Amino acid sequence: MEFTIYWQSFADFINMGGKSFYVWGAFIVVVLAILIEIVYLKINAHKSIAFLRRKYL
Amino acid sequence: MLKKINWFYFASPATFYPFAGKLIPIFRLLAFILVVVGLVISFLIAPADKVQGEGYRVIYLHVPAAWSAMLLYVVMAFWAGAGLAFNSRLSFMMAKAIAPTGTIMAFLALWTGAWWGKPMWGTWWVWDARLTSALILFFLYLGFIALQSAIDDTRKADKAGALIALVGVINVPIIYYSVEWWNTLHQTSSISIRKGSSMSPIMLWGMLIMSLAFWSHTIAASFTRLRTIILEREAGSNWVKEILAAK
Repeated sequence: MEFTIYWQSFADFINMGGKSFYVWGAFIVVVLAILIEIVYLKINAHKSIAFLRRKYL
Repeated sequence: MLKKINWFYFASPATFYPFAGKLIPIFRLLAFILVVVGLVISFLIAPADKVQGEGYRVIYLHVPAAWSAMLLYVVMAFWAGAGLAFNSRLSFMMAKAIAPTGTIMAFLALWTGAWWGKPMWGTWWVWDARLTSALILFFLYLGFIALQSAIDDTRKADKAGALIALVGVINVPIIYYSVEWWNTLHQTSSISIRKGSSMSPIMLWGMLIMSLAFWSHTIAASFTRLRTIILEREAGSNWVKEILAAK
């Protein structure tokens, strides 16, 4: 195994051999979906605890 | 001397709640480290594929998402089944906590699959056995969530959801073997339980590390959701009131 950066330049990396639309189109949605899930879980936990405190304390 | 292990110690929501709270930051950190290493290997170091060029790099997202979706379904069905068998509250809560993360993973497997299919096959979607069974997995998750939230009585909702989860688990081996049983446009597995790997080591490592990253995330996310569900369902008990008062 070789551990050198495969790309010639940053533009080369972004271009993805002409397949940038598809590679980054898949990539962005994966990142967004997971980030949204993490943030939503945090908000939901706070909301739920606030609700339970009002109801039971 | 063998110490007697109390296997049901963590089966109580009151003991699992703080335990999960300790595990979540560990899995979160693990997911973060693995995703950084995984992305460096797969998007910066790994070379282009001989046949598919650079477009193949979607594999590093697609395969981890698809594996997570299938694995999470099996785990969800396992806990649903355990809930039915032992009537244990925490098992049902576990199944309920896993479903949304599994749904997201199933969606991402379909999404990344489409964005890989278009440049490689020339089409976003085709009704072949692999794609159709993966779509069914997504619908099974949605069905589980919809059915559970449609029934007000928690115990009945849990049992109804468990039935869907258990019946639907037959779909997982169908997804896995679909590329062998039928002629599919979808390529066959690059990694097989019986035949080993047909990928170059660096690509294989990228895919495995990304998969471990996804799994770590799904564990952290499911446990986070589980903790909220535990508090909501056990809200009447004293230990929850103590936690609510302390926060």
